Amino acid sequence: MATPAQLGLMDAASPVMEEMIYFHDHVMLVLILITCLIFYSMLVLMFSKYIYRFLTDGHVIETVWTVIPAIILVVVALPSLKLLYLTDELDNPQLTIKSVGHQWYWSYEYTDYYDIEFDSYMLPIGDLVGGDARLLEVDNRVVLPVDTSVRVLVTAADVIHAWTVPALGLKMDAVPGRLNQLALQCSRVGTFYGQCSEICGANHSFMPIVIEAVPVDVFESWCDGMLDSD
Amino acid sequence: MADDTEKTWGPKHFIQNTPCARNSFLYGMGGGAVGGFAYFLWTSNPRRSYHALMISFTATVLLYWVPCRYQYAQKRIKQRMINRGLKTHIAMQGTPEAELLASAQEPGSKS
Repeated sequence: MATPAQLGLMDAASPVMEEMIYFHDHVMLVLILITCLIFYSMLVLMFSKYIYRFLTDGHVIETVWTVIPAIILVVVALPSLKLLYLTDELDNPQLTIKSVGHQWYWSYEYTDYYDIEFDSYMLPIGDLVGGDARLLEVDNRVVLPVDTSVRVLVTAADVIHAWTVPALGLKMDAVPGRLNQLALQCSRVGTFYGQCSEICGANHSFMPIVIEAVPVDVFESWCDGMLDSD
Repeated sequence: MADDTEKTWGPKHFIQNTPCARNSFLYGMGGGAVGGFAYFLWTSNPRRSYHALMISFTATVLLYWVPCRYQYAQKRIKQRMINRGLKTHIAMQGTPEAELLASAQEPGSKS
């Protein structure tokens, strides 16, 4: 989860998020170089003594400052498009879960093998214990096996919500009457937090998402526990 | 709670923690200094030498950054393939399929 005053991206917990961080680094370098050049140009112009009131055009420089930005855009666009298509790639998912947005909680369904369904409400502040994150903890977490390709089908029951987990590089609108598909793969064990990302009413800020990535045997035990409790 | 240390983002964080960034900027500063100084020795024009310094800096940074990131991406992909192969090998150890695969890979055997 994010630490206080954090400005940068969260540490990646999925291969897609890793690629997003690398793309961010690539674009950031391009932006830093452009900014350096602009600041330098401003400095030079500020201290320049050259004045020519009748300057109307300059074909060479106009060609240069058209072609070079086009090349820069291509250098940025090619990895961007590759990443865009990578986020849509689904690698033979071994598990499919459904995430349904309600006002103002999420419900999850694991119906591949057995029927496991549960609601996930935010824990009120009074129910938090030491170490819990305020406005982020939930009563029932989404438990997933680590290193497993998972398909998440996102929809909503009333208004538009958005299912987001920044550490996994995931964000998808939950639209009533529509099923949106997400590919998810946690590359390390851990707990990953997210919040609803589409305004959906009074308690839009109070319907978080918590994913707990666990080893496969722990996931199986959790499934058994959920089935027994039903 | 993981990641309890405070994280701030800035130029120092970017240069320290981004692969290839530190070397790109170091080579860029060196290349810019060399390019600008060489232009000054050639033309004795300080104003244009500063322009040459900026252009050399930008070009050197990009010329180091692009191949470095490309090689880093290739290594990353190979590392993921190796990781996946090792995990599959560990998961399949002792199974009949693994023994069949091992015997097929022996030198002299027909695959």
